[in-house]
Amino acid sequence: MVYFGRLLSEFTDYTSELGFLDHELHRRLFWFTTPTLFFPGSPDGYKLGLLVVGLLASLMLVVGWKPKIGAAVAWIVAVSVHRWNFAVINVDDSSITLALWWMLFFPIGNCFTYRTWRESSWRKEVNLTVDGFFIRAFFLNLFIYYLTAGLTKLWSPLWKEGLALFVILKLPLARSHDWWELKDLPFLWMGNHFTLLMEPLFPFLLLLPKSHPVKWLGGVAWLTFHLSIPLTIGVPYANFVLILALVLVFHRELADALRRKAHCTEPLILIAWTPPWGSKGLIKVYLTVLFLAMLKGLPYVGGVYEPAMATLYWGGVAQEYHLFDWIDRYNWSVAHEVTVTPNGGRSLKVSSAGLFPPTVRGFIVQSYLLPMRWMRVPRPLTGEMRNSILLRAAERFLRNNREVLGDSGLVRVETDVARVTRDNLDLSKSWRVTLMEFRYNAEGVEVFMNPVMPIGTGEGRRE
Amino acid sequence: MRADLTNIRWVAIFAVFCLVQLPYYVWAGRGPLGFDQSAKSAEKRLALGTSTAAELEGIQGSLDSGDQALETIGSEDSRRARLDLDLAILAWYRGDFTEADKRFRRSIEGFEKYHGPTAFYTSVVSLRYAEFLMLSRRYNEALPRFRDGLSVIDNTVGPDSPFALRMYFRQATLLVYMARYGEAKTLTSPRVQALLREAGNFDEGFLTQTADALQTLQTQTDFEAPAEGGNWREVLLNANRELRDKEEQSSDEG
Repeated sequence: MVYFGRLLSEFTDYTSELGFLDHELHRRLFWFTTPTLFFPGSPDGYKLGLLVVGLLASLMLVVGWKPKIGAAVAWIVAVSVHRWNFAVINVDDSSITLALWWMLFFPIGNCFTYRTWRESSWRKEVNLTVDGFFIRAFFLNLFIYYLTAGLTKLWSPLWKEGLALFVILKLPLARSHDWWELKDLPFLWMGNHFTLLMEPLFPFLLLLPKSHPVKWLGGVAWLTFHLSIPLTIGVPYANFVLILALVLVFHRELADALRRKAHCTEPLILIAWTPPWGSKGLIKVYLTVLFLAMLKGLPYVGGVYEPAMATLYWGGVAQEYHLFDWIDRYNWSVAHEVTVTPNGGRSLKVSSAGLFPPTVRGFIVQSYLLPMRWMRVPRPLTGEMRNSILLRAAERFLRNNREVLGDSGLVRVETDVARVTRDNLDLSKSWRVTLMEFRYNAEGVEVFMNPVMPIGTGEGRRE
Repeated sequence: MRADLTNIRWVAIFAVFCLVQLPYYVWAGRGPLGFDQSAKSAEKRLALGTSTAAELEGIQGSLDSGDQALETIGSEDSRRARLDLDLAILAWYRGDFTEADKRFRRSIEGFEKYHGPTAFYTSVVSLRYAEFLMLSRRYNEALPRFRDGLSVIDNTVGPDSPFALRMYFRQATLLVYMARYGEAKTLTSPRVQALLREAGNFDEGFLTQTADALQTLQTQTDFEAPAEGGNWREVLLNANRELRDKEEQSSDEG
């Protein structure tokens, strides 16, 4: 529900036609994203309506009122949004798809729901149990997740040197990027190695006996790890989904505690529940394809990842668990300085938050302005994408700062660009570029002066 | 109602829904994927410096497939300019300088049209064209292209990126050819260390020509001799070999 709330709050920046993405161009760049409930030219009311439907469907899931239908509808809306905004999708979004996908299979809706709460009592419900096939299958998914996320980091020089966490936290995508200095490096070196050690070990907690002390310690490490990421970097949805997975990891311990609380001593009652026809087979296929899709970069077998990833995408459950192993390539730090000179007035500095939001998605948008691409925009169409984002960022800036701009004037955005590398941890080596310079009037962007836009590019007329 | 919903074969509906999309994906993907594969295949072989007639025919075949894929896509965009650049380099390899010149110009026009005159790709192609002009001894046409292009490249990927370095040293070599030693020295002196650091990224042809230019600069001005001793050709080619060996070693370990 919170996720759909965020999609609604970010509506103007991404889903609407006014946002950073030119959806006509987006569908040409990512031709495979066209099957979605959204379509170019669809009115804002329709798009907002779909997001509200997703929100209500997730509410159905949360309260347990027809939860399967709720999960299916929320999943369809989420997949549609992800295709519509594909260029800015990240692990937060794919984790929500994953959670909703599993809700379609889990034996949910049989206890602890709005209906059973009214008709029964939790003391009786703690004595119920369900078929465990899909839970075990989900555990296998967790194995693939953590082993991919953990082991692929071992190929990264920055992770191996203990510098990756520092570099990640210095990137503008990290919500705490202003907190860290070189003196914090020893502490972050430990955090770096804690991640390297623990991430691939987390799924093995599932193999430990009930209430084993190592399992409890591992659970604390799991919780600490997934709480610290949203606090310092961001991507809260992915991490909270994995924190919620602890309920399943510790399901036997939790069930015992609840049964003790309810003074329940009778044997467990297996709920008569039959999984939908073919669903076990479908999950086996899904896990096999998911495993193949994570083999990217491995010698001999790595080539299978592309068709496997395409199959996952095709089925509406695209996942990518190579998390932060890309830090050696995507280690760009950018800091903008925006100077506004209203006609007849004095120059003033304005916050760059009006240009790009200080969020993970805001950083992803900026990746298309640098020599890196978050999603693989086919070369050389990166040029069309770059111009489109610059124009839309300029329009966004004008919308957000009307009160200080006056009727007309000049905006100049200068950017300090640096790569956070082993030799440049203090960001002492950077270069300054003029990211954009444009004149504006009461209607919006009048003319782009830098970069000079192609003739006929909307407001970016050549001077 | 509950029983009805439970009994519906949802998985079969999902599978049918996925399957009916397949023809659409095949139809919609044949243009963009076909172009990407053809262009990448041709560019990979062009980067290797392939020169036999049969190999050049193979590259021509890939680029023809790319052209057909563009026809399938229908809409006009900068992909046509990329194809023109590849055709220019192919014509250059074949020794057809008139065709190469025509294709380079057409590629630059294409990128200007779709990306703008000061865009990154426009400048990259303009710099490749400047290289072509320089090696065709059309020095006066090449020089302004180096100057204009490099300011954009600096702005985008930074002054120490391998591509920017390559073009700075191309420009310096050109200035040496034009006997403008002072300007060449100003351009090269602050970047020699970066060149040595990135030498593994460059081909031997480029390094040899650059080394000869630096050697000339050393005799004509007070440009310093290599700190490592020896002449510039030995120093640059050794740095290239050492870096490549190191890379091979680390990829073997990986």
